[in-house]
Amino acid sequence: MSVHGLFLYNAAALIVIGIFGILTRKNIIKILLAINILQTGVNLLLVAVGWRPEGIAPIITEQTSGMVQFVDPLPQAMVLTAIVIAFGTTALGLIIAINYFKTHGSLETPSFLYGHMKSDEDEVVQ
Amino acid sequence: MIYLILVLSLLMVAGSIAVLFQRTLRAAALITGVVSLLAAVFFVFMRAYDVAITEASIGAVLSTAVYFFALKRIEVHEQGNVDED
Amino acid sequence: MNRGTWMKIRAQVLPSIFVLLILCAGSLLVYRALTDEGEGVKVMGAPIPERISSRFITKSVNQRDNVSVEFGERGYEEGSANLVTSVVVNYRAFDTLLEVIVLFASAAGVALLAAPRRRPRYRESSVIVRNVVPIVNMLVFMTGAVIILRGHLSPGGGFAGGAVIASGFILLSLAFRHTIRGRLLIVLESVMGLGILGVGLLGIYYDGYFLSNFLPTGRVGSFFSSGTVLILYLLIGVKVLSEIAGISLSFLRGEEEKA
Repeated sequence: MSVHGLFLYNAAALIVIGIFGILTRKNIIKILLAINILQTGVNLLLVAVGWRPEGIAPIITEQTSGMVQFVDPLPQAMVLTAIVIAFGTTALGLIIAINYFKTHGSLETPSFLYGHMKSDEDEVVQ
Repeated sequence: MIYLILVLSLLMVAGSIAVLFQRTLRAAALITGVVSLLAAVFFVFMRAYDVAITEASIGAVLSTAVYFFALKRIEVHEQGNVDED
Repeated sequence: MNRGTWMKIRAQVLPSIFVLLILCAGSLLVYRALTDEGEGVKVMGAPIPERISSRFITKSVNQRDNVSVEFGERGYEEGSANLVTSVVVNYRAFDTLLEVIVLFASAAGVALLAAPRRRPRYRESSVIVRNVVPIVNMLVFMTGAVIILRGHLSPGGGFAGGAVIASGFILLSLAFRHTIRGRLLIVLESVMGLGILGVGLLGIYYDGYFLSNFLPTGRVGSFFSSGTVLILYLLIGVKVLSEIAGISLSFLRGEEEKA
């Protein structure tokens, strides 16, 4: 397996684990953490698409001027924006989670499958 | 070189699976910070240095810190606004 | 296996297995779609010289005759040495402006929803923290300022530098009691946002389109090159730093103390 394929499979694994976490976890902080993992995976995927095996960093210095093989700078620009937006949405989601705890008394999201049953894995804050 | 990337990517996948099954929420936030830091190392391997600095400073440090601040506020509210003397 | 454990398994384990199977099927479909060897448009098919990024690399979006960009030459349409900065602040500056607006919206939402917190009685931080944090913060602020100012010459830029300086402010707020007012951060953020809009409107006045690069571009690689990229990245850096510091201080304090 080539290095490029390894980068792509790694990002895809993170995306799959993130989606799995969003769909199956009950604690709202766990859901926010899974969203964070999903965003990290998507950023890795975007930068890995723009990588080439003999590429160098897209900065023009005395040694690298001329028509040399740069790594694609456009996905890096998009990912730069996406990382900052991920932080913003995480902060807003955490404030909403705090308010949810204040009104409901616990961090568990209700569900019709196990709403009436006490679950085994009770996550504690500390 | 490919073995180093293989080991780090296995660490990242194992860490992100471990986040979802943690008992303690602070441990889960900490492991997410470690996964973000490994992603910053991967960005260095992919020759994306701006993205690596930004991910290391925002994703690994500030996001984890904000999780800890929020957990502190939840804990303070859980114990009924304890006034410490 | 009595009814209790069967209900427990049905409610906790079966949904996870079901979701895992659906995700495996979905990822198999996506993999087959991405690696299809037939005719038609491929997803990752274009090599880099055929993408639009080659126009950004050779700085030949408006001037069509650049073959390669040399260090130390002048006369290109956009003169920053860091190609990612030239994409973020010059060629795709509108996306960056909208991203800054998204960050502003999240900072405003956090400030609105963070209820005032009844602080426990203030416990003074330890001797080590009180004495080391000002010394370490000198290094932190200098590093952040260098990262912001050299955004067009070396990796970094406004986002990373703003985050570094904001973490310096968080350290100060954890060590001492009265550090910075929330109102100062709000005023700083608004003034920087107005500055970005002002630079964009000046672009309309000089060149006819929003956020154009109207200042002269110098040599590739010197400090005063690349037109408005330096000014815009400085404004963006201070705005991002005030927003991130505002979000963190809203978490820590919840309400501006009347001090």
